[in-house]
Amino acid sequence: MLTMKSLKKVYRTALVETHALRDFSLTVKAGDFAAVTGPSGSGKTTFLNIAGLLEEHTDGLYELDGINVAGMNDDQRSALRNEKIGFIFQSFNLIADLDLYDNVDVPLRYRGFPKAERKRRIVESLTRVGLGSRLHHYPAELSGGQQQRVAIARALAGTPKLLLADEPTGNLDTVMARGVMELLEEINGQGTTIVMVTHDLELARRAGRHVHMVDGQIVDIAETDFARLRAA
Amino acid sequence: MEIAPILKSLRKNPVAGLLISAQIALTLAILANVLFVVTERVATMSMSSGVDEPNVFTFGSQNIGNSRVPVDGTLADLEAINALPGVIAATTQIGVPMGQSGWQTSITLKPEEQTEGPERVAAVYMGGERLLDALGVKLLEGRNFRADEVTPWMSGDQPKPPVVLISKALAERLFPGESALGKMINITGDPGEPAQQVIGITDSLASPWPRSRNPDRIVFVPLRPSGSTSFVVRTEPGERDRVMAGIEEALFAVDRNRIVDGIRDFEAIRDNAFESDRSMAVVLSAIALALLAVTAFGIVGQASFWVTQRTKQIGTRRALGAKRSDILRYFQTENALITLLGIAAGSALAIAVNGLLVKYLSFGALPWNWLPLGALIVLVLGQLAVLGPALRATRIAPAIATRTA
Amino acid sequence: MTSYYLKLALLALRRTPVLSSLMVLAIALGLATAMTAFTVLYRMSNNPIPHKSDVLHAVQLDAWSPDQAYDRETNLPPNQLTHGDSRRLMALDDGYRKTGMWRSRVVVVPEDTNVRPRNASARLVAPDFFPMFDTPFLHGQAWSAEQEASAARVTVISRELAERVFNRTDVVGERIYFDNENFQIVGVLDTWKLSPLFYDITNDVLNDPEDVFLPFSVGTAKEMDIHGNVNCWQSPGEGFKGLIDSECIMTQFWVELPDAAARERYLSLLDGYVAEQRKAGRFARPNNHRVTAVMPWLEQNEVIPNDTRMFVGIGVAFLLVCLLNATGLLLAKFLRKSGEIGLRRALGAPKREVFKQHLIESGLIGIFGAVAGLLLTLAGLAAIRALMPRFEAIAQLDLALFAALFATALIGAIAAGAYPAWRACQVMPASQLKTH
Repeated sequence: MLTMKSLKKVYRTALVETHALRDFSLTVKAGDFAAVTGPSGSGKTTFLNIAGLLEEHTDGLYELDGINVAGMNDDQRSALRNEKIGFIFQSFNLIADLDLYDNVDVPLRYRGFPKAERKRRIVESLTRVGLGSRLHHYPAELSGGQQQRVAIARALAGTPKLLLADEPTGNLDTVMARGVMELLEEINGQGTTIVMVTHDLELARRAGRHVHMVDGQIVDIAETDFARLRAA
Repeated sequence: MEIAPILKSLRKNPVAGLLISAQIALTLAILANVLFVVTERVATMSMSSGVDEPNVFTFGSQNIGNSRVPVDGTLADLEAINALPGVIAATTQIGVPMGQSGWQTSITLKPEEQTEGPERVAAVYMGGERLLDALGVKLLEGRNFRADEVTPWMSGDQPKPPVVLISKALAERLFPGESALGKMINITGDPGEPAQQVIGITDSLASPWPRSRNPDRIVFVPLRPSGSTSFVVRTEPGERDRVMAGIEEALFAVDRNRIVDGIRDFEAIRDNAFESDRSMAVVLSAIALALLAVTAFGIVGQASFWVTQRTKQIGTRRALGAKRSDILRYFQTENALITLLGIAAGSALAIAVNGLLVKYLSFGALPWNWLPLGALIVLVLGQLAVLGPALRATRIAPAIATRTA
Repeated sequence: MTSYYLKLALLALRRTPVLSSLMVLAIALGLATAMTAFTVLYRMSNNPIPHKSDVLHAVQLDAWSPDQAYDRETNLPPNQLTHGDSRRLMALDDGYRKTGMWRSRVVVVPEDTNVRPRNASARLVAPDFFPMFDTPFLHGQAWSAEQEASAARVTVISRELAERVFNRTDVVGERIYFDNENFQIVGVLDTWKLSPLFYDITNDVLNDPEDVFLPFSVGTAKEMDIHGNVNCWQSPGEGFKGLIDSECIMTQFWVELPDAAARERYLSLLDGYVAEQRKAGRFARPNNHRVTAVMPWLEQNEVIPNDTRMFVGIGVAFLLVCLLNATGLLLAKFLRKSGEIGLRRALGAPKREVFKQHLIESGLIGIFGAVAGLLLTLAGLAAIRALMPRFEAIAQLDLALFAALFATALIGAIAAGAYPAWRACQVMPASQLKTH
């Protein structure tokens, strides 16, 4: 599903060069639930941005679902992102002026689905996250956990192959966080590949794979292998 | 495409958008009326005079005291001016097109006919047999005055000539569908048997008051104003300025006991006649431009604010798959919707404003096609104004979406 | 606190120089347009003679055609009198100051034959003209009733003409040549203006008063040309004599009536005059004579051009656009710093104080807009003067309007800022503290 080989990302300003990713290699197979952890500044977010085609890498290979994304222009990347990837953000990133229905509709419109198709997908995905009865409520009327469910519904509505979650429980209390995590596991169980970036090691341990980053590189895979063994 | 969600979003926070709409509405209402008035004025200003403008000038001469016999003095003056090199024709005159002073009268065709009312009013042009030549106006039918038909005219005399020339427009007004040539008309303004015979019909030319209701109805009488009076001179092409510069000396050579003043070329006459139109057109155009600029600034300011305010939202949209063109189109569509609302209100307002102008200030009624034109202008203005901020929005990195805070 | 807010407002303006300048510019442009238009209108609707505008009255008689009203729409009597009616009304011994008049022109011939003769504007008046219209005598006085009656060759001239011809003003008793005839100067008028020049609305009301005043009787005797409108419903007789004894209207007539009783008396006097004239076969129309005081007279004769009124309307609408504009931009500006406002609120600023702070910021923009608007108004008036030299005296900034300008700018900007300031103080204290 996701193959990165010797990936480099360098941020250049007039004064300094920052190596956010150095020789980063990772493969995530279809159906995996991978967690990426690491301290602040370890390159988690850069990894996520590159994986989600929000940024371009400087050097190395990145294939998403078998497609080499190097050299794609902005529109191609947007289209690919829209089709293959669903995003879940730490602060939900819902549009406050739009109700739940219209929020979930946003990526579907960019996909160019006909109206009936969009409607079916919106109702289906909001129902799937347990908010099927609140289509025309506004985000401000919901709890944080519910808002994140809306974001998940928005990510799922386009039936992406890969779900990228950025600290999905970071802004939630423990009870809500657990609910969201269970939902993600359920989704993974139904076949969607998930890559989750988090600083919460406890949460990461629940994932199928655990990747730890320090200074733009993966430092320890053994622990995740161990965890997988334990899960089995 | 995205109209419904944009509309919903606008309805959620209506004030800023409504402020822009209100601005657009007022702008359109002002713009449509201003454009209409300006075009009307420009059209008035470029009205044809019928005169060979580049080669014509006028001036006045006043005799001081009673040193010369007015009639003979004028004849001597005319002889001198007509003999100047470069002069085609010169004559004394009362009334030149656009000159702002002169005579007018009511014309009747039967003894007991009602003479009053604007329908029969015509300007009276006095001058000798050379007047047509001196103005550069063509004779279409019939003949010009003969020199022996022209009599001297002094202030206070009543024009009751046996023969007259009339302009094409007056001929068509008095004798629709038939030739006016040879017809008898009464130009004295008093009831009575028509005693002036039409011997010729001239090409179109303007009255001294081009802003009056029927500025093309003229009757020429074979009278030569004499004594202290005005002159009109037409020169060979390119000779006018030279002749103008020497005219005072030429007249002083005939008699020094006089004042020569008001020497002005036809451009000055035309400028003077349309001074208020010209200044109104300039002032209104300046206001229209300032208005468009202010409205555009308002849109730029508001859109810039929205782009800043929605940075996160735009990044999220990009992350969810929006192309740069989608972002651009979002802002353009939003602006178009706000503008269209303004246009709807503005059209009604424009018509209301015009109603007031027509009712209280006797301006012309706004033709319907000015509204779409005004609407198009504000629409294009809005799209251009929003372009800068919208392009800035397209440059917002999608990675903004993953940035917390 | 207020000075603290002023400091904050200045800081805020400096932090967003482009947006702030746009607002100041918008307010300034709107004000300048409206103010330029208002100045022209105000000057045109000026009361030219405030202390006497209620007592000076234009006289109208209706000796127009029996078949047709002079003005079929309004049925107003003619706006001038025949020369004969003016002469006869002047001759009535009614005890009121009054004068008939017309505008003409003289050639001023210098004694020095090397100097070219020049035209001067002239007005033919009765000696009452001078006290009636409050003409400022620099030297001398009006001619006497006897001199008027005997058509004495006397004149009152303007200071400018005296200086031009004699290089001094103290010229009472000197002789001056008009058209080769010798006139004795009995008075010199200091520079004066009537704005608008209401006593003759058939000429340009933006003119200055004439340079030469001569007895009405002299104008009649010397057959001085009429520079104004001559309007006839039947042909006059031949020559100047025929014209001044005709039914053509060509003279203005003014009378000074100190109170309502005088007005009543004078009207009944006119009743008698008309009745007597009817015996001579004139005044075939129904009674329609009237006296009209200065301001209603100006209104009746539509001295203010419709273009000026439209200019004012457009100016006001433009100002409105500019204020809406400022409201929009202020709203954007204030909401952009919701974070800061939330913080202030969290630190204990009451709503009222936040409102005040922002209102002061809008007020400051208003002051800057007013100052810039004043400069632009001066530029606008200069542009009007350049476009229309006739408007030289009209397009001048007025002190009272200057004050009004400042007040309008301030009130306008504060009104424009009120809603944004209200929105600003609605920001929740806590809302900006947590990340979003």
